[in-house]
Amino acid sequence: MKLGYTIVYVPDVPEAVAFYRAAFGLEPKFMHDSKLYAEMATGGTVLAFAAEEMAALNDIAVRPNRKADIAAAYQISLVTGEPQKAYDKAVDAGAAPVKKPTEKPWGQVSGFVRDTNGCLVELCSPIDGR
Amino acid sequence: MAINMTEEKPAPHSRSAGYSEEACPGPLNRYAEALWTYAHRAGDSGVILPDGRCDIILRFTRGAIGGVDDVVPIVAGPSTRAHVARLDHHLGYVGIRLRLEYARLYLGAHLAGMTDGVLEGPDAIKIVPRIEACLEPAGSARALSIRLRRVVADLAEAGAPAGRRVRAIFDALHAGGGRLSVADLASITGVDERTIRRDVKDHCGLGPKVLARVLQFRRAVRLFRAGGGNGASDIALEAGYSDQAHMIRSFRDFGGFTPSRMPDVVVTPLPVST
Repeated sequence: MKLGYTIVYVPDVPEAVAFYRAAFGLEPKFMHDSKLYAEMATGGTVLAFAAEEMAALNDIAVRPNRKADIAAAYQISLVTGEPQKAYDKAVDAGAAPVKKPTEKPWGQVSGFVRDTNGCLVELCSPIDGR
Repeated sequence: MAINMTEEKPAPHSRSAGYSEEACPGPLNRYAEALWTYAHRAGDSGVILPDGRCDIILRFTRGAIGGVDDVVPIVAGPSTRAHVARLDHHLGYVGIRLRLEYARLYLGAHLAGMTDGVLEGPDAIKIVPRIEACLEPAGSARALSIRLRRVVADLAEAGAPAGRRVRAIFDALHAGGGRLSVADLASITGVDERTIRRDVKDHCGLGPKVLARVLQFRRAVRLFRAGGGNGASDIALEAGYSDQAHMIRSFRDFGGFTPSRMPDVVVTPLPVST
């Protein structure tokens, strides 16, 4: 078994793709013609977006992620050499600031924003050797 | 790709012969979910499950050479009860299923008193006057379906699309499969509970609690139908019932049957008069 995909159900797939591109510099890799599913070029583990109606079509019920609501208990962590710069860029692009990047006791720099649907995104430096 | 978009889902209504539906094409899809047709075959009958939606329907007599005649308009209010369909062999139906949030646009002030109501002929025309233009005999059921589509499109053009707030509430209701309470919806959307109750009732004719129970019931039915050996207690838990007894009560209320004795149902609704 390996982790292949992280799929976030969103109200609007093209909007989510555009936001992740503008805020985090991730490039889209695939968008289905229906605009109900898209993948970002995130390397070995694919970050993808699926429309909430896809959940319903698959008989899955979800609590939709929304800005106004408390964040769901998971986060997407994006690793960058420059967390502070990434944080500023994300906030400029419309991400909600949660916690400015700070240095952890183990030397990693990490900050948090919420995306336009209220999902937690961590912007952090790599941990040495990993 | 993790989600196979091309895979064709087995149609949930495939067990009922003579029923077919297609997604409403183009911009009309915003207002109406599906166009459906039902042409009775000898021996057919089925239970039509409630889904909270309203339908605008044309009933017709099938001629010997494929033409349709004696077209009668029918307007069906938001459904919360199961119907048993037993149809004469010479009758057929075409219908358009409205999206929940657009019931009021089409039924206007009548919506409030239309729950589980089915109006035919002049009574239906009173509610949707434009439907009168659909009643001439036609060459095929398809032609009637195109007329219906035009009625819905004209009305959509005349009315205003649902606002952002209303769409946000209904989107969350759908995504939650009927599991989200009004309090949940309020914290998700940032809209206060009172406004949510009013918006839902105003737009679809049902209160949010009843609507959520209908959506929850339909999802539970689909989970049973999907099979895979999941037991009733697993399905009750996933569908959001506090226990199996609550699920059984919901099945009795909305379907008139218990989970262990599910009839050969038409899952997609066909709210014809009984």
